[in-house]
Formats: sequence, C-alpha cells, structure tokens
Amino acid sequence: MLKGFITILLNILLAYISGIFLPWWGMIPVLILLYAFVALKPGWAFLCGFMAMFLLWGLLALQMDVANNHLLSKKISTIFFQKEASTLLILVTALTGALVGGLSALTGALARGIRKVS
Amino acid sequence: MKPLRLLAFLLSLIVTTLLAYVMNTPFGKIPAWGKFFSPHQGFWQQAEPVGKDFNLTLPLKGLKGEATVYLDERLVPHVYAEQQEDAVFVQGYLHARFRLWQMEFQTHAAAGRISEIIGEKALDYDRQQRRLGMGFAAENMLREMEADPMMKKICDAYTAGVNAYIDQLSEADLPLEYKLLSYHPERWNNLKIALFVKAMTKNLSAYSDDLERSMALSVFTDDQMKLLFPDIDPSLDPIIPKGTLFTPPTVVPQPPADADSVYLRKHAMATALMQDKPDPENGSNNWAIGGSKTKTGAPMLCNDPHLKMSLPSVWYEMEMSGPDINVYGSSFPGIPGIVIGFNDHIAWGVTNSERDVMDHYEIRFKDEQRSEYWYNGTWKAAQQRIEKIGVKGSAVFYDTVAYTVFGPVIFDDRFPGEGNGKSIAVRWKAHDPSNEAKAFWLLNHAKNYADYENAIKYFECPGQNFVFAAKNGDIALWQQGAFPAKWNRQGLYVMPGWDSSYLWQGEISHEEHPHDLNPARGFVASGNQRPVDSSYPYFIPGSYYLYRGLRINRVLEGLTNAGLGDMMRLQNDNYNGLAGAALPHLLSVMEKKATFGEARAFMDTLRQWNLNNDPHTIAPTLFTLWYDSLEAAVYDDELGALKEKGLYPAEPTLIESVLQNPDFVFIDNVRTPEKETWDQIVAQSFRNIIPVANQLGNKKQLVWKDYKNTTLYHLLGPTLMPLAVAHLPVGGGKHVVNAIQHDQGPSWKMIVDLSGETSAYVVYPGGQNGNPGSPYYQQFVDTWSNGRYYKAWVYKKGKENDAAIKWKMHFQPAG
Repeated sequence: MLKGFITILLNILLAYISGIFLPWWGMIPVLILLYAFVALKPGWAFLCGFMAMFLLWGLLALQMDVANNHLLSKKISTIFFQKEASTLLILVTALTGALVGGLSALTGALARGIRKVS
Repeated sequence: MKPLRLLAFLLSLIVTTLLAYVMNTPFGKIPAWGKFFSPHQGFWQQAEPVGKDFNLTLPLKGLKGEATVYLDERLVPHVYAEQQEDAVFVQGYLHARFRLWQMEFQTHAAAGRISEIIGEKALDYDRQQRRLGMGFAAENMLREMEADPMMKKICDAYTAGVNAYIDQLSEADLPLEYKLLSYHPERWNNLKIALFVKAMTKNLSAYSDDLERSMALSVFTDDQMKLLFPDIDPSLDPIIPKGTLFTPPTVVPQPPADADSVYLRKHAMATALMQDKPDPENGSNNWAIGGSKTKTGAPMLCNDPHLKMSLPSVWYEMEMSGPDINVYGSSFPGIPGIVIGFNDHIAWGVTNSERDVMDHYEIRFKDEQRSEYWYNGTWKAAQQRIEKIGVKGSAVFYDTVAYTVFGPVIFDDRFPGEGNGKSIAVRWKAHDPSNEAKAFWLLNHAKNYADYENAIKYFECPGQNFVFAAKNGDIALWQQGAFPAKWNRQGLYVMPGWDSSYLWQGEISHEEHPHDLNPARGFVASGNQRPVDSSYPYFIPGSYYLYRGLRINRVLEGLTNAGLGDMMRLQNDNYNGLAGAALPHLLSVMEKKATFGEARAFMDTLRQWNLNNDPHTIAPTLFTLWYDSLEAAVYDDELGALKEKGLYPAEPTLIESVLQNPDFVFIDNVRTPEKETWDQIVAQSFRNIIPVANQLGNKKQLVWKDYKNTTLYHLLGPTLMPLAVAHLPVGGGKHVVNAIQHDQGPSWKMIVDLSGETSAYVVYPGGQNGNPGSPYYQQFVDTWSNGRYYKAWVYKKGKENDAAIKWKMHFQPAG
C-alpha cells in the first residue's frame, strides 16, 4: 500500500517534470522506466499509473481552469461537447492522461517481468 | 512462462505506442487528442489566469536600444523606445504576442493559402484570391516599399519584431487556433505586410458588379440601367458642399469610337461571378469640427470605420513613442504604424471613398492554351503565372493564370469549375505598385496640414477620405487615392478586351481630388456618400451611401458650442435615414386605406415611431420588412433571375425615384395585365408583411435587436460559435450613423479633442488579447454595446510610475 502510494507520488513528480521539458508523450518512456524499476504487479502498476496521471492532469487542469475563471473551458467544452461543462472537460483531460499513464505503467511492469525471469 | 511474459510486454508496448500515436494525430476536425488535452502543452495553456502578471524583462535580438512597454489596465501598450525603429520592432513583437494567429491567418487568406490549413474545401477560395491577383499585387507593393529606404527600414524592424516573438514561441504558448487546426506559424516577412494591406484593399475596393450589370444589359437598355442604378441621388449632400467650384479637368478621357454601338449595346453575357465579394457595407463615418463650433474653441475629430466586426478584432490599440514619434491610436496587426489616431500635433481618420477602381474585360483567347489573345487586330502573347497551391491532405494544385494588358484573367474555362464560356480579365488599381503603409507612417509623424497632405499622397488604393484636425485649429478632408479618369459610363459593364481604346487612359491628379480646408461651415465630414455633386468634371462611379452622410451633415450644421457629449451622441445616433425619407410618404399613402386588427396595431406602431433604430423597439423591424417587401413588389418582376445573381438597386433608389416621379416605370408589375399604381403597391406590400411579422413575433425575433442579432463571429466564421459573441443588445443599422448591422459596423470608435492637452475617447468591439482564453479577449464588448467609451491614457516622459500603468515589459538588445 505504502509502496503504491510512493510510486504514485514518484510518477506524478516525474510526469510533471517530463511535461515541462518533453513533448506530451514523453511521459510514456519515463513511466515505462519508472515502473520497470518499481516492483509492482502489472495490475497494481496499471492502477497506480492510471491514478497518478488522473490526479496530475486532472489537478493541473482544475487549477488552470479555476485561475481562468472557467472562461476557456466553457468555450472548448462547447466546441467538443456542445455544452458549457468545465468539469466534464477536466474529467476528459484527467482520463486521457490516466489511460496513457496506466498503459505506460503496465508496460513498464511487464518489462520488469521479463528481466526477472531471464 | 518467459515467452508469455515477453508477449504480454510486447502487446502492452504496442498498445501503448499505438495509443500515443493515435493521440498525437489529428483526425478531421478533431485535433491530436493527447497533445490537445495535455495540460502542459495543450489548450489549457491558453487558459490565461485572471489577473495574470504581464511584467517581463527580455533580451531581444535585433533591438538597437532599450525599450519599455507600459501596459495599462485595458492591456493597451504604450511603447517607449530610445532608438528610432525600435518602436516599430516592439510593435511587431506585441502584435505577434497578442495577435499572432490572426495576422498570419489573414495574410494566408490574402495570398490564397487557406487550403494549406484546412484542405481542399478552401481550394476555390484560394484560386479566386490568386486569380484576382492578390499575390501579384502584394509583390508589386513589396518592391515599391523596399525601394524606399525609410520604409525598408520600418518594415524590416517590424518583421524582425514579429520574428523575435515567433522564434521563441514554445509549443505550449502556441495560440489556440493553431492547436485547434493542428498547424504551426511560419516566420514573418515583409511580403506579408504587403499582403495584409492588399487584404484590406480588397475589403474596401473590390466590390464590383460589372459582371452582373453586363448580364442585366441583355434585359435592360443602358437608359433603364441608369434609372435602376443612378449616378447621383436627388437628395445627395456630398462630402464637398454643393456649389463648390471645380477647375476644368486636366485629363479628358476619350470614349472609344464604338462605345455606343458595341459596349453599351445588349450582348449575351454568360460568365462566372466572384464568389466571395467583399461586404458592400464596408464603409465608415468621420468628421472634424472647427473651433468655431466647439466649447473650447479647439477642433474635435471623430472616426468610426465600419468593417466586419470579428473576434479577434482587426484592430489593436496602442501608443508608440520614441525620439521622433508619439502617436496613439489603432493599428492593424500585420502592418507597422498607427492607422487611425492622433499625435502631439494632429489627429486623423479615414472612411472609404467607395469609388470604383475595378473594371472587367472580356478576353478572346486564340485557343485552349490561353497563351495568346486577340488585341488591336493581332494575336498578343499573354504572360503565364503559375500558382502553386498547397492543399492539406492532398497533392499540390497548380493553376495557370494568364496576364493580359488589362490584368489577370480571373475567370476562364478552368475556373470556377469547367466551361464558363467567357474569359474575363480584371483591371484593379490595387495591382499597381504603391506604398500605402508609408502614408500611415508619415501621418504618424505629421505636425501640420502640409505634412498631412504630403503623407496622404502615398495612399493610392483603396481611395479614402482622410479627415484631419490640428492643434493650430486647422480642419481638413481629402478624398485621396489613385483614380482613373474615366469617360462617361466606362467600366460599368464588361468592356471589350481586344481594343486598347478601352484601357484606362490616365489618372485624375491629386490637386483635383475633392477636398476642403477650414470651410466656412465649420466642419468637414464624410459617410461614404458621393464626394461631389454633378459639377465635378469627372465620371466617378462607385457604391456610395446616401443617408449617413446626410444625417451627419444635418446634425453638425446645427451644432454650436459643441462638446464631447455631442460627438458621442452623433456616433451613437440611431436615426434611420431611409425611414426618414420614405416613411412619412408611405404613411401618407396608407392614410387613405383602412386597416384592422394586427395590421392596425403595426400601423400605429409605425405612426408613433421616432424613426430611431433603438434596440428594444419593433418599429425598425416593421419598417425594414415593409421597405424590402415594397422593393420586391416593384423590382422582382423585371429583375427576376438577376436578383439571385446579387444585382439589386441600392435601397435609396426606389424612394428617391418615386418622390421625384410617382410614375417610376418599374412600379407596374409586368406579369399582370392591369397597370398597378404606387398606392396599390404600397398597401399590398404592407399587407404582405403582416404574417411575416407575426411569425417573427412568435419566434421572439420581432424586436429590432433580436431581428438584427448583432454577432461578433470568430475569424473562422459561424462554425466556431463558442468563440463568438452573439445577441448583442444594440440598435443602429443600415442607413444609420450608428451603423451596427448583423456582423458589420463600427469596428473602432474614436473621438479626439484637440484642446489643451489632447484627450481621446475610444472603444472597439473586442479586446486587446486575441487569445479566446484570455479575460481580455472580449473585454470592451459591453462598453461598446452600451455606446460608451474609454478615456485613452496617454504616455509622456515622467509618467512611468503613473497609477494607470499596471505592468511593464522591458526589452534590451541581445548580444
């Protein structure tokens, strides 16, 4: 449990830093490496990666949305979802990050499996 | 165990990579999902925090000395640069910082490069732009501009400033529209400055109905056309007062020998028509009143240019100051300098001249190659310009455009579509080399009337009415431009492109342009009306407006002891000039008719109407419906299919004609055996609108503001409504000084008081930051809708710590 918690924190930190310096997909190799070194079962790894990226992207979006007084999120959500729904937009953002994060973590954990066996 | 592990890993890796790839790829209208939603790089980065800190210290390569930008609370920059040209460099930087997407998009549109961004659906638009010679015109302008050492320096500095911003632009800071449409900006260059000028020139001088009128010649005689499209309306109050004496013409153009027998005769005219004509409503108001009419004894100058009111706005407000300049006003992101504004000595503004400087010629090619055309009894070689059009998602498209002595061939068998019959060349003044940006730059520095007159001489196309006022009390107005001297009726119809005698024969000289300096009546003014009465010694066709100019002149004549409030009232004046001319007459016709029920209620509303297009009333809607219905009843039987082609008489023509002559020949409906009278038609057309008005009432669209539904569309148009502002509760309209129509109207409003320390009151329907995610994107819209203004804060040395300054940007030269 503690290990999962620490992994999520590490994941958030590394993904945050990679987001500043790398293209958005830069988090994929970073997370594969991270989860290849952390001993987590694939299912747990997916969950941690998913949770971590859900939190990171969701919170970043939430913070920017609040600071922006929802001006832009209302417009963008109307373009894509035909209604002014800032929360929906943040949720979509979080889920997008979470999906990529979870799959990256899973891949990393599976890579670790190969190494352990060989 | 091992192979299964490996397989699971590989599978997971493939799925992850595939997902990343899919999420990094745009699909149709959907941008690359992962990239777009990434809080680090996607659209969230454009969610500008409310109360954002704009303070900045930045080294910029290419800057010569230090420069500071003082941003006030409206995000209006006040640039102070220590070195000449640096003010322009910083202007370029700021335009890019706050308006990069629009300036690139508008210049791409001018060049016919939209297919590169949105693909095949823009191909016809792009081909039309190129066949109109937009690129050709811009290249000619670029050569002229760069041959002028001063303008070369100015343009280079501006371009360097724009590129200083583009070069350090990160993926995260990319303006929202690039992210939505999945593309990136390219570096700026001086050609784009010329392209921007040409885009505006097209807006203001490419409205032409030569082709439609030529089609009409197969139905009407030229004499009938004169009735439908008269040169001068009887109630014209020209810009230069009636009775002004003009000198004899310096150029006397000779009509071709066969003008009457060939050119003005009925001929079959099947051709394509220009698809995206500029809005014929593009116009403006401006005036200056002299000290004899003001409380302070000093002049006041007002201007409100009517353009398409888009978001982001076409205007960007700013002040530029340096060792030799201190000018405040509105600029176009895309060109250096201030376009409408004031400095320590003078103020100036512009309205469109509406003069016709675009004519069409029918070309007879020898064969399909279109490399030779018949000209003065022999085959003449046509130059070929190959236009290479990049198309997103498909192969490059090549279009070959033939250039004749008359200009580029805009329509032929290959465009638009296949097999249009006739080949048409377009002769447009904007094709000729000119240097309009120089006129603005010189005006920015002008100190007096002589400087002003010298500056505007560089302005050739589109012809503009430059209004002027100076601290020393001078007021003036020049209609300035390069105008061909035309023989009577020249260029109204398509001319034979095989005869050199139909070419433009010379230009009206600057001294002959309509102008006025310190007139006895104490004011100068223009509202896009015909500049002069029939005593002017040249034939000057154009798409003039009648009633705004008339109203402005009436109000200004009546003013004494005028102050700021009078100027604001006039800019916001909702008096409907067309209704003023037509309604009393229409109501007197209806006196004799009994009306009942709803018709009675509507009639009472109209009788009680104060003739103002106020937003919350229904009378303006009823009048508009009635007049439209009346026009349809009078013209549609004769004009028929031509109306669908877009050819229709101007609105004043009907009432102006009928008031002169109640037996106006088009009143009779040619489809019925009996002869209709004017009274019958007036009553019938009123009855016709009752169900229409009722329907509108049911849909809650009968109130003027709802009927008009004033909307500020995003530059990308009605497909992006979330980035637009609709349903503005505003009055005004066509034939009204407060010229707010559906999506077109006063795009910048300025009042300058030249007494004491010059003060100015300004507003525009938009905001300083072009980013739709910024609180400044539409900041001024409510103030503008309410007819109110901001007092401009003006920088002076020593005011660096004034409370009005919210942020400072310091720029230093980088090594």
